[in-house]
Amino acid sequence: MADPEPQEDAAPPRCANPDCQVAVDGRCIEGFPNTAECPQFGRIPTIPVAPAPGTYPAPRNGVAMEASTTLSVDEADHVVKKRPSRVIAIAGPQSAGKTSLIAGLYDLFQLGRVGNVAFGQSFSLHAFEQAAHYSRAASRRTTPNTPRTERGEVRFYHLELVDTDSSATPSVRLGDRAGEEYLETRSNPLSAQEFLELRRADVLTLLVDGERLLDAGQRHNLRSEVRQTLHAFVEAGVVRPTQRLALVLTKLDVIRKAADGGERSFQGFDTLVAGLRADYGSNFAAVESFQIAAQPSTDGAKHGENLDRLLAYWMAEPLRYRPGPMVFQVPEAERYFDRLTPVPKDVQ
Amino acid sequence: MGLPGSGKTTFLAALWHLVSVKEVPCKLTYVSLQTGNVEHLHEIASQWRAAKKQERTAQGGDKLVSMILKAEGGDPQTVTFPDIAGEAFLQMWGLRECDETVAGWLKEPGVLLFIHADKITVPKWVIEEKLLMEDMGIPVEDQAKAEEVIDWSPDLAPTQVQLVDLLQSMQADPLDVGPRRLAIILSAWDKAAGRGLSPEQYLARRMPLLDQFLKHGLNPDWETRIYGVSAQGGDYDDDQTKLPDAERLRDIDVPSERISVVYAGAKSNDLTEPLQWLLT
Repeated sequence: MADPEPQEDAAPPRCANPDCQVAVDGRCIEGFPNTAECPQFGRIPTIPVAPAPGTYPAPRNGVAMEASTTLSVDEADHVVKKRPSRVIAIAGPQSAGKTSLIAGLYDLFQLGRVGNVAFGQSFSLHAFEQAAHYSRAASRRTTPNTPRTERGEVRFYHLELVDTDSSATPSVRLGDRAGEEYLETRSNPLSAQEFLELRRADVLTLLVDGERLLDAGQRHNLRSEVRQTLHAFVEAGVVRPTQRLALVLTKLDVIRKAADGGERSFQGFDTLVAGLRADYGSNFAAVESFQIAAQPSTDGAKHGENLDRLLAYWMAEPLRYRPGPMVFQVPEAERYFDRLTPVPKDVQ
Repeated sequence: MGLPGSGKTTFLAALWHLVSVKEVPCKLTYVSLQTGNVEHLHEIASQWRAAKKQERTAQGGDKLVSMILKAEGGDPQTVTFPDIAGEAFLQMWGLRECDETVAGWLKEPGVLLFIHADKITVPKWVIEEKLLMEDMGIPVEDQAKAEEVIDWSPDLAPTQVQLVDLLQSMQADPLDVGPRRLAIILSAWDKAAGRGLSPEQYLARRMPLLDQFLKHGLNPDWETRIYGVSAQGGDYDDDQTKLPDAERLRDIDVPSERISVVYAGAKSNDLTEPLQWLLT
């Protein structure tokens, strides 16, 4: 299991191990004499990777219910067999807002339809609730936060949704993987070939961290990271011409609160999008850009602003379902006899 | 079925009074009691008549009561009410396991799902509360000085999420038995009726995720009705407090008239209405 990420906010330090109450009783569950030595202390808890199917502990008393967590690749494939699906890969460096996007979308369904899309059901309700928890008042936080995703195999959040206009009822799988793994593809593009969610995606969603775009010291590096990451995906051969690309500027609320109203950041994002479209647009069936505030931390945007547009893009009929034209070609026979064809009726 | 404090026991108490005393006309009439914990039935009905709050049903002490009821012109039918502690359903949501006996009961084709209309936990967001406090001029505590952050546990989930999961579980293995009839009872309807909404509108307004699930996620072969039910008629006394509302209700000469059932724009005192629909 990878180390949890250091806590970034000013929350009172505590242990990332949920069983350890060192912050309360001063006793480290792992036996470290002081908290400075403990690798878990002072870090944000991570979203645990669920055990593989069949490894859930036997019920203590009775009948086991279906798990309610993210799905492994195999479990997600099983869901796909039952109904049409949309596979959404959400890529971006850590803290770009991948889990916030997933949790923010889920939270919108708590309030009703998202645009024309209604909630049907989900096999990942526990996982969604955990992802949304630190932005909820029940956590007693005073600033919203999102748990980080552990390194490891991709996990899919599952939603069955209904497009109330077209009556399409796809099963939507939102891929979640630790951001640092995507970032590492810049140095080792071939590692992207192991990321099954990229190959299978109907929409590759690449996040651009709006907060970093505001920072003069980081914005150039950020744009370079996004470009290099996309380049690595293309170089690794994991993008397909039937895929759509969504370039998503996150943390819109923070950008709007900037002294210039976010003008420089918006321009920077537009320039980035134009460059990526020019250089990589031909690798995709479509390229669209979005500016979202999935879980705002200020009053600069509405909760889930513009997620309805992004969701509509995700919900579009996947192009992999669209049959291409078939070219019928009769192979030329080597023997003259085999080249004989029936005489047309009007000649007879 | 229903989460803790959703009004299951009160419904059963009022129902027993209603069918056994026969003060008002009902769609189902009482024929006889079958096996089961009859003492429990008398006890809870006695509390109900005295306008006193019911004791919480203890988990593991689930009470099973069967009675034979009969519709006009119909054959007598045995109706079984397992008075299951709400914690059993929390266990299904949180621990993903279900007591074997409870699992057996949950395979019946007719389901009464209780939701306390006045105790719905809705999701609230940190940012909304923070902005509200700022608007009101209340200083927001710095995160570093704020009280201990609470980590996630399943019981913190909004009511509608827990109910969606419960219904999903009933249409999946090992509880799936095919099409069913689902009567949703919005209990303590007297607390919600003042908003001027029908039970369907109230559910859609207060629990939009559940509303979407019922329309799009529930097996289309299931049939659903949503009732607004006030089995008490108001607030009852607890052990320590005597309430004026309870006194008012005790003053009503015909206790069955405390009950109100709202469905499809009509109002009655007949708690057997949803049962009759489930049985047909």
